[in-house]
Amino acid sequence: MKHFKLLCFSLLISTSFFSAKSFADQKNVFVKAKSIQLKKDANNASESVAELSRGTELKVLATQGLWLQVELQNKVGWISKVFTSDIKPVGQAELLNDTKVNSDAKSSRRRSNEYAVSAAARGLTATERNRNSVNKQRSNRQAVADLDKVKVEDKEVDTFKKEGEEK
Amino acid sequence: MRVFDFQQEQTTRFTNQLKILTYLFVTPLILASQSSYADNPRLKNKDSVKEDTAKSNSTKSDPDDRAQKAKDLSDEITIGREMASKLYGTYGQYESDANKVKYLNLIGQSMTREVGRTEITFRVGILDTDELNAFATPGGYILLTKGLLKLVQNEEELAGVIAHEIGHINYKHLYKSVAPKRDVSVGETLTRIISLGKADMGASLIKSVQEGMNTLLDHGLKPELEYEADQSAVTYTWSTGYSHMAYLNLLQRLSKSVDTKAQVLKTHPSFSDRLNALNQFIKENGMQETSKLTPTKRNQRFKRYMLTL
Repeated sequence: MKHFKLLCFSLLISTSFFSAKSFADQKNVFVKAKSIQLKKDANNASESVAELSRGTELKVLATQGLWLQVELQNKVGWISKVFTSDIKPVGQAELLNDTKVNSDAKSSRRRSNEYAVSAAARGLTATERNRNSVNKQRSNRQAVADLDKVKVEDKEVDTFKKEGEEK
Repeated sequence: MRVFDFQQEQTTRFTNQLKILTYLFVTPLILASQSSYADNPRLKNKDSVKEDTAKSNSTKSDPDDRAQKAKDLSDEITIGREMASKLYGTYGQYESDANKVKYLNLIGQSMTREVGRTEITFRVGILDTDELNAFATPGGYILLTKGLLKLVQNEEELAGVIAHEIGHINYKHLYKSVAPKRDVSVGETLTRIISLGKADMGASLIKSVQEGMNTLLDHGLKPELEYEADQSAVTYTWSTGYSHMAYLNLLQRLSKSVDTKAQVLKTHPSFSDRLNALNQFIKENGMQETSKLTPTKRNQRFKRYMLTL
């Protein structure tokens, strides 16, 4: 009994010591926005302390609702959580090209026949394929291709935003 | 009469002491080796902390992890593109002045450039139906119905609608529920063999697409996910210079004009529940109104592009 009590005591001490370390863990976040202002206070109208660009790593000091108090090179300020990410932001092209994964329209069109292929593998006739087809909705891939062609340049967005703020 | 055995007594005492020492010192040491205590950055020097942080956060440090992320993204885009094509196939593509679509995408980009997932290209299109609805498919496709666009009264409200859909995509609400499982089934292996490797996850992707369409058109997402998207709508607009209150105005107007049997209510919680949840969220987060009046230029361009629908 005495030894059991000693075991429990040592386990309790050990657990509380190691769990206390979690409060000391510092969390870093990354700026997800292309460009954003670090605010002096936790509100949109506050003056700017610094300008932050995408990928900048920030040390989180505190949280207040939707805002994070962060530190960067001895500057302390506030940034809305929506502009941050827990992982380092990466662009689509960078991620897909780097690992040679193809997600373009040609690949998508090739996949459109895959049901037929897999259905053939299951020995279904054309009639059965139509009747059992999971493609009950018609597809309009040309419309998606048209939408993919709509390009919006950064400068156009800059102009659009600036124009939108004019009273 | 018990004979006192001195040697046995010593042995017993020694054993007991050994046990005590074990409990007090060895147990903590065992726990230390199992826990992440050794990785506590507080115990390390600054250089190794920076290196470890960079390693854990860098997308280039773990090739397998990066390759997995790329495959997941590719699947997400493929599924989303197929779902978008089915929505266009179901409702029709609204073919009109290309400037309308570009205008919607400028609104979208002005927000996603700041708050959107950086690995996704967000696009906004128009469906040719008078039904009141908006859809977000995995991979960044946001499709708004002509009916909903006719009900919107200004660019602020339009930004709110788009921001709601951005929220769904950012949080992967739909994709998480339909994403193909990583383990390849026997049937899928057979499919790949017979198709000579051309059907790359064909069966499971198609299944994901169908499940996604069922969610979008039949039963909708869980209410808490819609509330989260509503919170995104007000947060993203508020954070990017739009009036977040405009989105509430739109929901209030929808609650009065939408028929109780409308399609949108099959797939979304009631407007009154959404408004209550949103008002609570806005109050809890102290979101002051930053833009009470719609700026002149926004009004003008909204009328130029949207009133001719």
